[in-house]
Amino acid sequence: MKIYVTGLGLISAAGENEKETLTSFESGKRRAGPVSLFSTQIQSPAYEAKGFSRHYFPEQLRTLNLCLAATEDALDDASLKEEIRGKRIGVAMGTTVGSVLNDINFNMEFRDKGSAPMDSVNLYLEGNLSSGIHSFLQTEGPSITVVNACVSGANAIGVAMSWLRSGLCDIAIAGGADELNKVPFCGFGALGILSDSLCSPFDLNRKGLNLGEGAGVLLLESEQSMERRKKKPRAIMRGYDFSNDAHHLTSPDPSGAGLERATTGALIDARLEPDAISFINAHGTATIDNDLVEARVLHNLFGSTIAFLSTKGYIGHTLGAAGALEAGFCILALEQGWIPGCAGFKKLDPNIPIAPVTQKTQIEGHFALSTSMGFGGCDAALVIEFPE
Amino acid sequence: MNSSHENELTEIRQKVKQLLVSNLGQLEMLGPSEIKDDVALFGEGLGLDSLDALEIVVLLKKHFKIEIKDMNEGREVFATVDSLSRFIQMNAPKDGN
Amino acid sequence: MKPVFIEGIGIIFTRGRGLNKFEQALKDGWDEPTVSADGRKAYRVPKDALIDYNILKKVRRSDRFSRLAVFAACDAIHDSDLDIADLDQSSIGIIIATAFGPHATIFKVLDDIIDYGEKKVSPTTFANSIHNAAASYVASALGCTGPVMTTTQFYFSFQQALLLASSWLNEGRLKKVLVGIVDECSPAMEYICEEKLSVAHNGKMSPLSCLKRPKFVPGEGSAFFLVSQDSRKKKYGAFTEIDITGNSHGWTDVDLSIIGTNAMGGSEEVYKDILNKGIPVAAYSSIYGGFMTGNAFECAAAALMLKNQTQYASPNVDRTELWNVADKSKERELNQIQCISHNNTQKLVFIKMTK
Repeated sequence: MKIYVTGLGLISAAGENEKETLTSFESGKRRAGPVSLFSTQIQSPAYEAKGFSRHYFPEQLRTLNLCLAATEDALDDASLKEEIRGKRIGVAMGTTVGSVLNDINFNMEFRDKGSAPMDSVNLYLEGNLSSGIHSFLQTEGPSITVVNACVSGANAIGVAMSWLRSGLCDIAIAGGADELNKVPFCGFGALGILSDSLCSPFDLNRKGLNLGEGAGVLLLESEQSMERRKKKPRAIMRGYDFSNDAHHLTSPDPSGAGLERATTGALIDARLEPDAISFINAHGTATIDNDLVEARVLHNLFGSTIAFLSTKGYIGHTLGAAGALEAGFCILALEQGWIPGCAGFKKLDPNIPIAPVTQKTQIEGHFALSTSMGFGGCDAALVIEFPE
Repeated sequence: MNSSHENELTEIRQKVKQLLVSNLGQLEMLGPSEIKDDVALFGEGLGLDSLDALEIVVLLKKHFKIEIKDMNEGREVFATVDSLSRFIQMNAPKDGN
Repeated sequence: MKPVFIEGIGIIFTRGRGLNKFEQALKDGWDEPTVSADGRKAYRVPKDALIDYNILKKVRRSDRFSRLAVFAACDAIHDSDLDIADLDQSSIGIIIATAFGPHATIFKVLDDIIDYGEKKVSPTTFANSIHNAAASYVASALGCTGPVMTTTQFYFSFQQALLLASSWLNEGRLKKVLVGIVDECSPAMEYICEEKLSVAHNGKMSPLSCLKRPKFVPGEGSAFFLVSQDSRKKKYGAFTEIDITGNSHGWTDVDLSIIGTNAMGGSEEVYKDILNKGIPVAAYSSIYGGFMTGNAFECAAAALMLKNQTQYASPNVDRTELWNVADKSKERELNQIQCISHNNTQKLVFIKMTK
């Protein structure tokens, strides 16, 4: 069964809409800088969605606001604005920050005094992504918030594909969102994988990742629903698979077996051979381990001439949003016929067998692959088709 | 080597063991006295891994005010409880705890 | 939907670890909750239930939240007599649903930031504070290399996870799915419950009271089901329908309705109109405490009753005039049971289970 993408909403440091995003990609502009959303002693550039101010919920629920803004953009794009209330529409969203009660002041007051105001708890209870969007739009249908760390966004799209294939809904809103937040900022610092300069995916001198924020939302639709609405697709979600390393809590399996399984599985799901893939939007966080394992797997499966890049040099690591934003970027690239250069990459690491593209590169063909890897040994891959 | 120096080292070893046991998981079931001073912490031996190494870096900061800037330096220092304790004795600021 | 057969169940709750303990608890009925250091009542999992060196050595770093999940998940596999080594390890998927995630560990990360500063956060504690750490430990403990996913919602988390498991099986993506829930009751959670809900200070949760703020005692635990579409492997009946539309009135061809009373959705009044008086009603949360993913416990109770063809008495229901309460434990023909839960907007979600 074919699953179509009829709407897109993309918000990141690279831009609050597709046009801005493409301009950043084309010019190689990297909109990172010192953290402005909170005070911190940790020196690491961040990719903030500067200027984002669309508040549907209280301002503190930044992740949910980002998610709903991207959802509204995707609904607009799919011309689905008014007719969704009470419809059988699924909502699957991935996040990390949107799922945690991590208010430092609440914790401090509670442990010092044994009591604390409920404000932050109430906000937290309001902030679940899928539930929030489900009730805001008053849709009916399945609803899941995926919290699979950095793979959440890709997984949420996969969940929606499963629902559509099983006939649980006709339309699904799927993607992910995360805000830049102090707690993961400190946590990634503790894990020693935050770079103190701009990230450089797959580069010899890569020192770690930069955190980012944003939201990516895809409007997925069955053929029947799309034809009924006389809507043209922007892309086809052709294949998906994911797996787990069962290896280590924080480090990828050095053999890359998990990512290889997910990627092969997605190709089988798409009924495609590896040589059908025109380009790959890799996870490419710019940590030592991730890039090493990922590039080796991509080389094994796709050979040494495959065009690939990481877009993290434009948007940072947006955690729960990453897989969804990057799937969206694949669609833009298929439509435009080019991929941007892998921002931050200069010199190939001799341990890495293939080099990403360094500048805007024309692509031919109809199929893109987006890979995601994450904490907890998660690996996911999506195959995306540009319709004839 | 004078005896106060040696006593201090014994104390540090004890504290290091306690910190490892209570912060690195599983080891909590061993109890501090079970870890030998010269057993390899990583690989064969206790089988600690890269995440434990990061944890030890933070433990050194928290409890001894020592910064490990270069993980290559860490590799030798983190070999055993004894090497780690000697490093702490050499590097902890005098007013440190 | 195509039936999803239950091959094994694992459970850990206030009276310990293991399905036999849960079965005994259903027979014994209500018992006093645990009392925390600051005097708050809750159904907490005892410390000794969380020690098992054979399992812990595979997940030495795991926090309490993860251990709850790991033990219940391993027990579900063990209960099924499935030998994971005989199986293609990528053909089994895992879905873990949670309402509040490892919040106690998240607070420890915040403690580090407050006490030691931003640059001295424990990397292990941070790693354990990520929602999918528990799932990662479960995958490692079992050697599962298939899809592993963690989901979170306050209401209907388990039902949505079960629906996804059924989709995965339908697609032919997987042969088996280990689907379950885990939630922990920390001191902060006990405090939040006390602030936001009406905690029963005598320790007696009385479900089906139809009070606007039902008397409640918080609980915690983990429950897992190993499920497949292979009827030959069935050990406890099957999940045969899941209705999440919110427009449904449930089914009239069931022999028992189990209500998920966790107090967070407010009064059970909403059930009065839809429940057929002829069908007995039960609520068991006064045994294991109220928590938002506790619906999995109701399904475990239903699975046991279908297998044993025995109805267990619904404890602590005071307002017997309102309901046809299943107030006695007895052998009974039970072909189908529905488990119902509601949220704070009075939306109802149904799971039907069949012998």
